Amino acid sequence: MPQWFAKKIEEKERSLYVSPKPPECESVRLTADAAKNLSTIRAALHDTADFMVREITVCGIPVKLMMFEGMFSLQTLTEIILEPLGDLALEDPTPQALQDWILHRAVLGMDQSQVQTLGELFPFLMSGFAGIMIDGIPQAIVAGVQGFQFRSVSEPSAEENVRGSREGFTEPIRINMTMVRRRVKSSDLKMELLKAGVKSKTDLCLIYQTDMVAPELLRDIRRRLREIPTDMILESGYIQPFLDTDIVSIFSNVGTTQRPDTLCAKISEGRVGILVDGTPFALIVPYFFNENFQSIDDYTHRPYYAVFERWLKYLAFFFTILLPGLYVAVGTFHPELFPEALLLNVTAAEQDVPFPLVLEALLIHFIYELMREAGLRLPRPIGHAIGIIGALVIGDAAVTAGLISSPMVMVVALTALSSFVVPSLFQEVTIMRFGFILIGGTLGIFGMALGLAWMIVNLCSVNAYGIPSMSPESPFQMFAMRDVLLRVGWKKLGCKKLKIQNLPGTEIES
Amino acid sequence: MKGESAISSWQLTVLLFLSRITYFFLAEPQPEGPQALTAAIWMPVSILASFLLLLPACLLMRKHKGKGLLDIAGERWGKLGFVFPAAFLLFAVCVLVQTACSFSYFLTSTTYPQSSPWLFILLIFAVAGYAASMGYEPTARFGAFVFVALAASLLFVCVSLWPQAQWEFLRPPVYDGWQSQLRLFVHLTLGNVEMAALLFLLPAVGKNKGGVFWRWGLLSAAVLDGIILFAAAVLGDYAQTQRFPFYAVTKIAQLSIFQRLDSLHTALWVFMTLVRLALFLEVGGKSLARLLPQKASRYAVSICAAVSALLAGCFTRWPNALEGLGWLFAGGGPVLLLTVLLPLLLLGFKGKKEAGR
Repeated sequence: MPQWFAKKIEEKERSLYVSPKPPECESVRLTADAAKNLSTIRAALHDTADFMVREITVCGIPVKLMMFEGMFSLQTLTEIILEPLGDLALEDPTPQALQDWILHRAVLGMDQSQVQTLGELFPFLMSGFAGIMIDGIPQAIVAGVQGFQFRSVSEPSAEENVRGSREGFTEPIRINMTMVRRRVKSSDLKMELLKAGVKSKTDLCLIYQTDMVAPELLRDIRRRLREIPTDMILESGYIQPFLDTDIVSIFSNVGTTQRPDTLCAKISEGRVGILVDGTPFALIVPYFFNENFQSIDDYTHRPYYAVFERWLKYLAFFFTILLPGLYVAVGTFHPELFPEALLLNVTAAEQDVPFPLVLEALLIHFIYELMREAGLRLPRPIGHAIGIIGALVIGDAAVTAGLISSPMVMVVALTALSSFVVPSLFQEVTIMRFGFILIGGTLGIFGMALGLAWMIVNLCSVNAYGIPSMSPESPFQMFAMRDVLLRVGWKKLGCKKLKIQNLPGTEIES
Repeated sequence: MKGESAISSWQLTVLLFLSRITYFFLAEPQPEGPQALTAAIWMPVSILASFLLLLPACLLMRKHKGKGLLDIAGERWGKLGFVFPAAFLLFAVCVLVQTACSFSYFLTSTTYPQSSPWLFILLIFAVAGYAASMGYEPTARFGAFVFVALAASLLFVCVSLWPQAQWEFLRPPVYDGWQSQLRLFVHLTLGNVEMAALLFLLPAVGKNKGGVFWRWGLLSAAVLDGIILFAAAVLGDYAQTQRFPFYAVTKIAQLSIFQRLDSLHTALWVFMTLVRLALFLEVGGKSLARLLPQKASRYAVSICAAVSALLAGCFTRWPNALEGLGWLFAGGGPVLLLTVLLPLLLLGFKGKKEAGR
């Protein structure tokens, strides 16, 4: 029966989706006939409108220059290719001599390479390189003349800070690589370029410190990246699931950051950073649960204040997932837990509400999520209007109409506020909050305890790349706790560096 | 891979400790009240006695380094070695049924009087089964959090009720006759089902295996002594009228604005019961896996959880059977069989396979 069911699902899938395949032309080799090559390339590109070719003659040898419109800088192209080739006078003008001159004697910028197949040529052309095909040579030379438009380096919108750098990653991968290199001027910092995506051929860059990273961790990450079957990678979120743990978990073991300084700090502990071309969000592998409560500001503030902030974040996390559920559970099953004065107030407020507590909580949280989502996607000027509507509808009209009680508004407000304190856990927290409201309203404290236990067991069961996700809280290690629940001063923190593969319970070699 | 063992000796210590404390919170008979001082005195003695009882099994495991009792039985007795997993499975299922029934009884008699015990049994087995199916590690790591929460909760109870404790409530041991004292000693020593779990789980610990027993024994004796004496001093004769004396203690514990926190203590006991159930589901599941064909063995924990939940649900309707199960454990027969008699037999009798070798 299950096999029959699986077969039916597979058939249905096959009728809807196709498996991504690399274009067949990729293996076609370039020949010595440049004109023939050009027609092959045009056919492979289906005569696309943005493909440009300039045919010139250098010392009597036909040369074809290929580019994609809008991807190159005309000034750079003129300075490093057109002018030197125009002025060239070879003593013995053969195709081979011209190729040698271009490759070894002319300065065609720093990015220069030779390609032999269309599969090798296309990613370069589509990244803003100019292709040079010399008649009589079964190869092409590619030279970097990129000049496309991109967003300039700006403050990271999702990770703002009080003190420290205002630089955030931007879309082009090369610029992001320079931002990391500028911060870690060490020979141990290594960057590895890879490609992923059957069709998109997106550039990925693995960044790590050779003296800190565990070889086994690196091997595993490389293997997972190599095996990604997706055809298009348009954002780092596309590859995140392939790097995540195999156990079904609510929390991800892959972190994201928009900040080069955060990425540098993470790789200095033996983690691996992954930059993806086209997105300002870099990935951090592996990423532990406690890291969601750390921010770059923790390390610039005074230690006692940083510790206060840490505790505040942990408290806010528990508040945001448990408070509405706990309120519903206590109000429905255990009202004796409320202090007497509060109990009277709550009872008086809930008396006029026509819904049971659990339904009321679900309703108001649903409205809150609706407004949040609407505010997120709308243009900024209209987004403000959503806030006004929210304040008027929920804060005033709904209470006056007797649809919800004022204590419940207070609970939602506190919950929403707390959820903004740990923004990296926003998705997990939103879903868990609804779950806890439901089980709190149907099973009371027993259900809440069971739900919380399930969540902790789920968190504890994850070994991200052989390292326990909950380490160093459990398995416990005192030394590593100095940057978890505490944040000791730099005089101590900076002396010895933590290697993640040395955390307790780790299964990988250092 | 380093190939390190699944759990550390401290993690196993905490697991066994939580399991032992849970039993005292939930199960009958409880020595709070007049017998508290007697129980408190016998507790450390029972640890020593337990050590002596475990000696043959420890010798056996020392002889076969890195192997558990089930492996040794399979090696020495060949096919007849199935007696060990079968015995451990039966034992684990009985412990699971007793724990789940006591827990559901606790909830239905204190917090949810109108709910069906089936609901609690099925839900708690679902979560415990999930934890156990993930292996030792998640349960052990979860146990560490529960340990911290328990310590905080006990501290709160002690601080808030210290002024109300009347130590004259504790009756000198001489008032209890020698028969009663002997019964208590046997109950504390052989009613300690965690001894069997210790023997079963010890091979999963890497370093410092020997330390597990002493740490666990001393820690649980100290904490249980504290709880028993304190509950008796706070409740006095009222304890005798209570089915769950420590719950009664938490009900009256209040400090400043923190009042009526018994429901939060209930939540903590949910965690502790989960740890105990997950621990014995591991024992039962691993034993069942030895008896099932290889293909079906990966479902062993789920089967064990489902069967135990079903039996526990039925036992809530058969109070006499449940009482019998309680007496069986209190009498110490199952623990004596698993931790002393079977290891002694294994030590003494070699099967054909071993003799041939």
